[in-house]
Amino acid sequence: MGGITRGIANRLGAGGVGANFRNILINGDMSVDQRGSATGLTSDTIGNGADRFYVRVNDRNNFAFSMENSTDVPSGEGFSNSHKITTTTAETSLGSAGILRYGQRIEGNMLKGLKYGTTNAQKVVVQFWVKCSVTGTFVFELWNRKSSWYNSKSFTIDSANTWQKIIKTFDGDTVNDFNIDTSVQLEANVWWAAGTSFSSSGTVTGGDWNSDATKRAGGLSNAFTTTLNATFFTTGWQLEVGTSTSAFERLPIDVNLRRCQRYYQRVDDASGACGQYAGRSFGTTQITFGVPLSTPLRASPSVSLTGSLRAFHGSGYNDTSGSMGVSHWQKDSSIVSLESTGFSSIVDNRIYNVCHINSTILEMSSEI
Amino acid sequence: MTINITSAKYLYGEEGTKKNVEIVVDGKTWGVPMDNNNSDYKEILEWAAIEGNNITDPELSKTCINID
Repeated sequence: MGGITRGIANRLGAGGVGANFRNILINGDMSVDQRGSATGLTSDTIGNGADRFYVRVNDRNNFAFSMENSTDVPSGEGFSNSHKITTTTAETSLGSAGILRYGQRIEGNMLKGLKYGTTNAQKVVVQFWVKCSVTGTFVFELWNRKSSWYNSKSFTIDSANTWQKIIKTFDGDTVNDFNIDTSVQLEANVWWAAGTSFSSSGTVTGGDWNSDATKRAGGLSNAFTTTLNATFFTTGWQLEVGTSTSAFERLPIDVNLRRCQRYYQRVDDASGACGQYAGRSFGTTQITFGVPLSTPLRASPSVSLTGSLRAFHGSGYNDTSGSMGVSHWQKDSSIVSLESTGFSSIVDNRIYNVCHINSTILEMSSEI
Repeated sequence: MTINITSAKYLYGEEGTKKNVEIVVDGKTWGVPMDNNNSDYKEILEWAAIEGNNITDPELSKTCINID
């Protein structure tokens, strides 16, 4: 029975719905976008346009950008979505500690198979598609966050506005391991631009794990970030053990969504009155209430409320629009207890039904 | 520091203890649990360590520089 199951999984993995989870990255096909687009961005931003992917910004002068999901994809490759980033204000004077890059932070629990820090450290290969409106040299980097060791390889976009597949292989690191836990242990990044702190030692030679940060992003042309209205599309991100790429692993959309929801979930009442929670009052301003989770969150979440929650008791009600936080969170639990001290004139120690009103959005983020 | 925190204050739980920090990031308000596994809380600790940044304590009507 087990052999039959494995056989099916292997065949599907050759190009169909392969559920063997060989892709270490999540949402590589950019099909999940829980947050939607955002513009006027000038600092670190994660998930807008495609869950799990983020833009890192440091020591910028005037770089601003937008993030959105797009249906512009490489033809005939089986993708429906890409992640589009647009330069809305061009950078003119990036600081020495400047960082403008794109990528995904990876949780330690996803990295067991790499066997880093042992003589059996595995080679990995990354693949992704990119289409940029400006040509130039970029750098793809693996960054061991535990040890602060790096491995970078450059690639060139030599034809503007043309989809191009990037493939890079990396040796395993036999020296530095990962913590196999819920914290960020590895990053997979594309550098768009870098200050001298990350580029002063010249161009990347590639292939060697090292601790010299000045070699992380040498030789960049920075053209994407210095060009107003430049666009950067990307999709098909896959990082896997091995020395050659396999077909992109296509997960069912429900599986892909659940994997993203380990890091971010939202209850958005704009699409229907789905947010109703049982609560209990403490004093005259605070109600604690349980929110069902789509899947257990990685860690106790940051909570944001857009709009108002209404607490009903008997024929009366009270509203809150803020002072939200976590009351209790437990690892692997499918419910989290939230609290708000933003209510007024409620009665102590009563049961309340807490509801979204109008277009209230409740966001819970356990991103890393 | 990687997120742009413009203000921070403690929120108290039902036991009367500090359990969350309310921060404003790029104009949006977040309640962040005081849990080291929460990456935003780590950011708050780094932010609070910078001279001039304070997490206000509305219950005590005073300003604290350190969280612990």
